[in-house]
Amino acid sequence: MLKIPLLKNRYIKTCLFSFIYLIPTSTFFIEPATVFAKINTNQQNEKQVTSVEKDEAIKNSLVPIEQKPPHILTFQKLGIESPIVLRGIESEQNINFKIRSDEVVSSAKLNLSFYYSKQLLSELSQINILMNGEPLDAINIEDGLGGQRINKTIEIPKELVSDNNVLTFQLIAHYSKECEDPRDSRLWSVISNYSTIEIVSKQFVLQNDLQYFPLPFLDAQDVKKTSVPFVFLNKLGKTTLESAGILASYFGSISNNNNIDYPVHFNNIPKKGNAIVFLDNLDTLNSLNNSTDSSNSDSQLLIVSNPTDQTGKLLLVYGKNPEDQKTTILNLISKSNKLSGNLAAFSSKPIMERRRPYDSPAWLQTDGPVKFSQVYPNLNSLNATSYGTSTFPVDINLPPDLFALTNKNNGIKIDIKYSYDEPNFSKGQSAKFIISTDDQIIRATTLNSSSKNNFFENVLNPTNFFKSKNVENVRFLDGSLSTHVPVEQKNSLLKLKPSFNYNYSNKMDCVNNLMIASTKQSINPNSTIDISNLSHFIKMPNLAVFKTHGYPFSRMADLSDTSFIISGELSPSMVKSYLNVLGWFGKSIRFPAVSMTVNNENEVDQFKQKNLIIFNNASYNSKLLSSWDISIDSGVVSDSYLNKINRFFSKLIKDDSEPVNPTQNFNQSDVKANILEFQSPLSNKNTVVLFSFNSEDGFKLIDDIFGESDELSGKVYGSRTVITNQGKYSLSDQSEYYLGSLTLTESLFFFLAKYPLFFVFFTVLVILFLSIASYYLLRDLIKKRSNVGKI
Amino acid sequence: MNSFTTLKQESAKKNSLIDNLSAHLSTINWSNPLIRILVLGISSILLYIVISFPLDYKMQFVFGVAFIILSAYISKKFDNRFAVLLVIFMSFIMTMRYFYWRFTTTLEFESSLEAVLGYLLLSAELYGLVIMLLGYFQNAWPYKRESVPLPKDENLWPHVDIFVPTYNEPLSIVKITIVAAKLMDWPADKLHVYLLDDGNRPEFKKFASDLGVNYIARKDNRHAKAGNLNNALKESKSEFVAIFDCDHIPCRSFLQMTMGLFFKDNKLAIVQTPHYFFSPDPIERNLKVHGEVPNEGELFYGIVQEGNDFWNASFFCGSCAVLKRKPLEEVGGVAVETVTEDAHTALKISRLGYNLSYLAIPLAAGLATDSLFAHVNQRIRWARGMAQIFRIDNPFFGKGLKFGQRICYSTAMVGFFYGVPRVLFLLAPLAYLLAGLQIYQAFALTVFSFAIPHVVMSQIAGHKVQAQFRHSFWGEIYDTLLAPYVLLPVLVALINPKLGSFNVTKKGGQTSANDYFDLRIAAPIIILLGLNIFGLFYGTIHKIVLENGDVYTSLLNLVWVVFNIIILGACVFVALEARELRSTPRVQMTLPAAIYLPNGKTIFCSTTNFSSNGFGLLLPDGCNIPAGSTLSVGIFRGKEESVITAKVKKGGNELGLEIEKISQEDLIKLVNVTFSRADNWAKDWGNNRRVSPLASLKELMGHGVVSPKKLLNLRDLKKI
Repeated sequence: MLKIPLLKNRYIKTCLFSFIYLIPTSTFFIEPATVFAKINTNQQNEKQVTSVEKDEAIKNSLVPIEQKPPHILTFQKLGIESPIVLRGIESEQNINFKIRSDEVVSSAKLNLSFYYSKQLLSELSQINILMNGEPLDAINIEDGLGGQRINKTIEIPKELVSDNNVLTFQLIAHYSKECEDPRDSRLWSVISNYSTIEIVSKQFVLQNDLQYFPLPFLDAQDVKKTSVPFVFLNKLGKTTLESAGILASYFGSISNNNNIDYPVHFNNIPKKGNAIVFLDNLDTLNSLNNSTDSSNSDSQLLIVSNPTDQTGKLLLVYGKNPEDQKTTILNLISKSNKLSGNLAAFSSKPIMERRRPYDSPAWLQTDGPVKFSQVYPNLNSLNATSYGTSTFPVDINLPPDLFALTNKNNGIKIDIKYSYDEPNFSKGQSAKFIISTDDQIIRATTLNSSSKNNFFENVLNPTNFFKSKNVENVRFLDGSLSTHVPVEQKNSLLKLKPSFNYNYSNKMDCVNNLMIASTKQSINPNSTIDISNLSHFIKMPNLAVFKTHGYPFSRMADLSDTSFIISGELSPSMVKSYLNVLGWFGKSIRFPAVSMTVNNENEVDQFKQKNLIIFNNASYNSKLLSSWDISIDSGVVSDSYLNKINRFFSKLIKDDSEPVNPTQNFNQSDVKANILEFQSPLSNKNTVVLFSFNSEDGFKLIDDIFGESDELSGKVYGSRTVITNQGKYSLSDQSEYYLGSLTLTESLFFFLAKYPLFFVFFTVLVILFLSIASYYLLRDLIKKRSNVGKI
Repeated sequence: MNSFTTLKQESAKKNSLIDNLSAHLSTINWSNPLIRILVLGISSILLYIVISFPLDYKMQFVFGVAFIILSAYISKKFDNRFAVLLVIFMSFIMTMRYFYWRFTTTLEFESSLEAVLGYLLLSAELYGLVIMLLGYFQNAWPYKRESVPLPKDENLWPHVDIFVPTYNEPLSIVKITIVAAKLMDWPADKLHVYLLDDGNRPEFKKFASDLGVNYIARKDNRHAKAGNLNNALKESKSEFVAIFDCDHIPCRSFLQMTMGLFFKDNKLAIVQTPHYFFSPDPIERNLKVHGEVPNEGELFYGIVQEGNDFWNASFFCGSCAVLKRKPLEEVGGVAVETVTEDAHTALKISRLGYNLSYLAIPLAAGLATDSLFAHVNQRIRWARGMAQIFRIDNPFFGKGLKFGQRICYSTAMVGFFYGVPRVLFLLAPLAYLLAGLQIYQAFALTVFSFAIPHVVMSQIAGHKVQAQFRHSFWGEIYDTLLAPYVLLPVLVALINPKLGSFNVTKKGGQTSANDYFDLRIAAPIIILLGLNIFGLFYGTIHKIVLENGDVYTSLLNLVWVVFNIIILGACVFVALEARELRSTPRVQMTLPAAIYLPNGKTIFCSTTNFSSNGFGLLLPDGCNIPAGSTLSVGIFRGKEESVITAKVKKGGNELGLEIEKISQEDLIKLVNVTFSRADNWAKDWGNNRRVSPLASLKELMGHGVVSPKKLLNLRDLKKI
């Protein structure tokens, strides 16, 4: 089971010479040297709805199909951030795209824009396009068109389109009929990432059946922004807020790409579309129930059509009292795969497994070595056939508070086992295995021939010794490498790139018209990456890691030590922001916030040992906040005296604190909202994040921040983000504190690193101590020495 | 102790707090084992932190430079033991930081060949580290021993046998030594001079009987010098034995100065005094730096022996020493198992619990080896011998030694194993420059940031410890020159201590009449130099100009190669043997003299130099005496005067006189006022010019190939 969906689909990882196949029945018209295999489609939250099932659903649906306007997806939106460059004699790249499960494609086309090299031979070269492994079309290379932009529209037969689709571009390129270098620079083609896929689809209406949940409210595959309205027909208390929040975070945790918005309606059901409805009145429930099934249970879940919109569905979350509602929600989440029918009744809360710290499925697990088979999205990407170079990139999301001293033998431990075709040393070939990250080479090792190097092996096995070294069949050798990747707290996304690099001598023989033969490389899925020995320690406040990882709240994936404090008058906008933040939490942690609590600001005893997220309307006079002496407004930020001294010493030699700009130029009246992070005044191990809204616009702006992609979140950092209509301003104006703990050595080293001058003084003291001690010791010895023989 | 009071005075001026503190510290019993363990424990923890604390290369560089400046300042400003210790510990920390970094980050090699070469280089560096640490330990506190006065009652003074072993040295040299030995201030009935002639030469026997000293000859020369001495031990019986090589001329005060120590400490077995050379060693002579740059011996006898003495581990050096007969006989006489019988004998005596001492007053003087060939041979013998002892009687093991003694003896032995590491250092940068092998896996700037503080501070500390007795970097010349030669004998001796033969150090011979280039000696150095120069050009063109390598890594290796070339260049010039004019060495010394002219007039003048059969005189301005005349010359020693008749070989204002067919009587007279003078050598001792490490490097470069002047003036080398 793929427990960690580390590979966010937004970054579709493409790997030369590797395939991702979702439809196993495909046949191929080319003979790729690659090993094909089916991907394990065992992702928990993805329900595969095949065309057949869909057709049945359409037949069974009581509601007419709704035609939707054409949807245009650029490759860029599908995660291809730069144009697709295909190089070499044979290369390919995949693009993944998905179709909502409750939509059926009526037509689709591909609008391509591309270039290819002038030197390609038209009779031998072409660009093949495959849809889910099936040949779709081929672009023939025409003499004279090389180096020019060419546009081409290709119709995609709707039969070829499924829910998860892989579009493959494959370049077969030749520049000569004679001997060729497969890596020749003349062999290239570029496909613009502004090429589009245009899809016309019809949405069908599913039956009122909980087995489709979260459809039709949410399709986890969808890349578009989705709206899931929450309707509260009962009085909105803190437990109902908890229930709604848990559900919102659940939606977040299962969605792959889409941003979800949670509009809130008090006491009225929207006229059109879907909605989640919270209610505590059985009569209302029964009046909305248009089926024959009913139950008298205190906790029940019902899916009904929207009375005013036959295509809309309502999920009725009923509980006799708020706790019963929560029972309903928790059961919905824990049993979402097992429900069926339009009604489900529950008697008790499901037993939730206790979470351990840092066990968020979004992060690399911290409880021991993790196998590469769990880290790489699919095992095929661990094998490659290449001419010269092959890379096995993977993005690994780390807990944001990992700490390691900057020694080389310290950090993320990686044990890689690999196999490779032996380079032909007798022909002057050599090969290296390199582990690098995005910005540095961690370790490189020369791949040795076993015959040359394993001298002792030869001695032990003398028959090896007499074997001819000119044996033609290439051996597949094994190797392994252990190393440590330094931890950089600023970047918790580890872009690991193991790669093989073969070097060939200038003189090359031609075999099968190719100057160099293709070689195979693979990385053993049992290779491991281990962060279990690293300490967790991070300087706070740090809104950047809050925005990217939900840290420190996400330390417990179920938010069991987090309390949301919402006081004052609850407006739909406030609740919407609350739900959006929870949805975002679910998305960051990839786990629903089943254990979080909502508290009123006067229940200090219940939340004083917890991390707090406070939603505060500036017009509300919060007793809690006024008792804490927190300056919510940021017009003039007074840099605390302690901070100034601290920073002075830090900056003296090494400045690692974030830029502070207390004189940031914005008009106080423009400030719509503030996000503030500071150490909890109630407990020094806990953190408070305060959302303070100055106006109705503020809610929308906060929703935008937590709905937008991570690229834009770079503007949220420090201890305060001021939000105006014009933009966001981040600054550090709160006292520093640290979360986590270090080993004794680490804390000492950390302290010394923080104050490098102190390290100099410390060294001087050590030298003085040693000198004084040895001075007196030696002086005693010399006294003894001069007294030798004296009576 | 003087230094301590100086320190105290200084701090008292500045701060009474420090004064109080030092007073408090003085009250602690630092020898208490508990306190020692406590200090050791705390030190280990503190050192671990300081050594292993990671800094990025910029910070490390800043950190290193800060401590370089600090230690240079302390080294220049303060001159006491405490300052020396401070500088030593600073250097120690920088070096250990370097090695910690070296071990933890630079050993991830890409290929097995690189790994093998890389570990070789590392082991060479480790050797350097061990030598450095042992050296710091050894020289932590040189013990300045003073001579102890003898009892007033001459009857208490013991009998002393004086052994002068000879094998093939000419009589002209041995003569002076025997005469000087005979002239020593000691009751004549208690002074027994023995001429031990392994050459079994009749003229020696005649000379001995004429002078009235004992003559012992053997039929065979088993065990060479050691056997010769042991044979003499059997045929003599005095309580003490003083040993002089036949070219080490003792002062008359030798016994008076040394014997007192035996009265003070009855467990004392050996009193060693410095070997003072009035002629330059070949390296000094060929580089013309005699008197300007201290030689190897001055370091050894100036600092190392005093450092050893602190740990009760000063060596017996084969000559210019007094030994107590009883301990010597207890260990079976002079050791014969190894070719360095002296050191081995001292080690054996030490093991029995006897004390050793070193008195840093030059009380005898002699000739340095006169040709480079002989010098190299001598060092090969020492290196072999030390390796033999290390192998068959390792001072780290076995009974009877204190920790300090084990360290000091080991230092002396391990110190001769520099052959392999030195050659590795000379070749290491070529691995990258010629073959592109990364045998040192690190970012070049990081290497600079760790290695520069390590190297520079070890030079500063070395300079501080060795003070005026060794100029920085000159040791490199001695080591580099000999490295290719000691390499093999040491390895062979370590593998099988019995292999190899004894080579006698030839002394007193005549160096060639003309300048000549000793290719035998220079060949390995020239090969190494050629490789390094090739590496320099190849590396500059291939790696830098043609951009085939990382610029910083190439620069690092090129700087290294340039340093190698400087040292090797100087070594090549050492092999250019300068011409020596006289058959007997002359001592440059100004003594009051008078010329008694046949007309009854007296000219008061002074000597410029003297030898065993002549002397030079400088007449007052305007006086001239033509060559060919025979003069009666009086040379004064205090109020005492010796009148000698000599013939003027060279006339003019500066005379050269020679005594033809010197009579026994005249020889005694001459030696009495010249070689045998008590204050002859002591006054120059330790008065060397002091040169800062940087100035020293500059001077050294002046002797390398980088100095074109030197090449042009090859013919005009100044002779002694």
